[in-house]
Amino acid sequence: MVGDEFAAVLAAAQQGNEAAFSVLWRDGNPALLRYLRAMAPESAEDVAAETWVQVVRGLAKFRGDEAAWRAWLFTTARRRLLDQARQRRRHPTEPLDHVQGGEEPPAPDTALLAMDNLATERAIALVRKLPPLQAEVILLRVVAGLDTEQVAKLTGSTPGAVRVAAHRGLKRLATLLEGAGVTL
Amino acid sequence: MPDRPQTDYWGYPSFGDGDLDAWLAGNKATAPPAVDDVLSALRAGPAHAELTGETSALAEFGRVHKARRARRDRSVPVMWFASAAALIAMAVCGAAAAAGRLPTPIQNIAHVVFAAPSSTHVADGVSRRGPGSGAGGPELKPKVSSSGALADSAARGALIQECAAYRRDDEHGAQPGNDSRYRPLVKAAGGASHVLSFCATEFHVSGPQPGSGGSSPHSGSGSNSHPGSNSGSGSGSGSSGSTNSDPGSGSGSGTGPGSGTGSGSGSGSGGSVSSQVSDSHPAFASATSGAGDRAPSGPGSSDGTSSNATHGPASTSSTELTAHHSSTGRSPQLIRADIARAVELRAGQVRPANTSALG
Repeated sequence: MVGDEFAAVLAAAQQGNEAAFSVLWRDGNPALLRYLRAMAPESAEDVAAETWVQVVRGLAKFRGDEAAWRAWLFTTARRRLLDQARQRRRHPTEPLDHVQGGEEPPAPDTALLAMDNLATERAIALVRKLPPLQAEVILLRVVAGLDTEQVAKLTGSTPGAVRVAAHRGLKRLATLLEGAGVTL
Repeated sequence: MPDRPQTDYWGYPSFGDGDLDAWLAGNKATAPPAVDDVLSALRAGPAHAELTGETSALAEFGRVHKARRARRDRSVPVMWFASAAALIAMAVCGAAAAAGRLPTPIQNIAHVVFAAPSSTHVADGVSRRGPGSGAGGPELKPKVSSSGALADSAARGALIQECAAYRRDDEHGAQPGNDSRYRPLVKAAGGASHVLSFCATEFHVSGPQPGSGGSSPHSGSGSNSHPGSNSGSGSGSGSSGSTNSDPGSGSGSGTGPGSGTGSGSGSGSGGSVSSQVSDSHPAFASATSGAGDRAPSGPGSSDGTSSNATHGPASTSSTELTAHHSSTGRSPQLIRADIARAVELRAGQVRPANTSALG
């Protein structure tokens, strides 16, 4: 989170200040990548890059606080994700399989994992085991920092459905942790 | 999978959405330890691998803003040129409208909207430069009154033309004071009752050289044959100035010292030689005065005795024509012929003959 300086940083970035944009990028990109790695691990980097392209082009017209900024960032990412999924369906040369609940995710390449990021990667892998809506709600609330109403608007659900999905997802997560004896 | 009790395996209460809100607000105790670890790992600080794409993002950011700046810079000169061109065009059109040089329909629109001289006034023969001028007729050199109120030559020229037309209409009994066409003139004069005196005092015409009668047949008026005209009562040279704008009004000719309101009868250029001139218009008699005839008093005709010279509206009535006839001994037919000739001269179609030969 940028915090109290967000308004000034945003204004500077909209004027073309690269340093200010860098602050926004460094604050938003890690959360964005974690969300995308959980939702579409094969194309997370590509979708993240396309998301930032769209954000840069629309940055001058953005109006809002930091919460609105994060909502806009993840909304853009989700739309790019859906566009890519549609494109892959039309041209299934590289099919993008959405992780289904209960399926064992592919084992991450340990060579790609940095020691300081191991816990995060394992956490993402655990969340990916959840049903899609539950996983997305938990990621948007915990990783993106969005509230229930923003998550509902982004996913096209109601706040009540979001709360239920969050509750069930956390409960399932606890069960998975208990059953697997996972320690992070 | 068997249903779990509301408390979890470790005895903690179920961790629901409400608990999640509390956990996100900083109350970590609300979550079971394992869940707390998972959620904390998801919110951990950025790893090195998650910051490697910054260079490409900044490159895209710079490219977009550079293009935006270039678009903005390109548009500024275009706007400047467009604004300058529009201003120049407006100035040119405004000057043309003030001088009455626009096409008739457009000039009429300008007359209604901006009180520019109407096309009818221009067509009334209030030529910008009377034919007399071309023929060496009286030069219309309106003098601005000392008041300096008419500094703008274009506006002054328009008012001079208005004065001539106003005088003609007044002589014909048309009550021009109520005519919307003369609204600018009435406004400049400070009222309909002051228009004629305003025209007489505000505009002065310097007529042609004495005896130059040839300058226009009208110029003769006053210059040669009308002693009175020289008296300056206005023989005509147009002191009245205002009518000078109407070459027809003949200001010029009045060689008289005077002041003569002279204007008008114009001998020369003779505004009076407008198409509106009627046979009875004494002004045209003045045109003929070039021939030495006594210029009728006509508006400023050279006849110093013209009532209109200086002192008042030119009396250009049929009565005066008759009087003129009686005074000069010329028949009305001849007078009419002179009038017609004056019209032609004014139109610049005929070189003025030697006025001395006339009459």
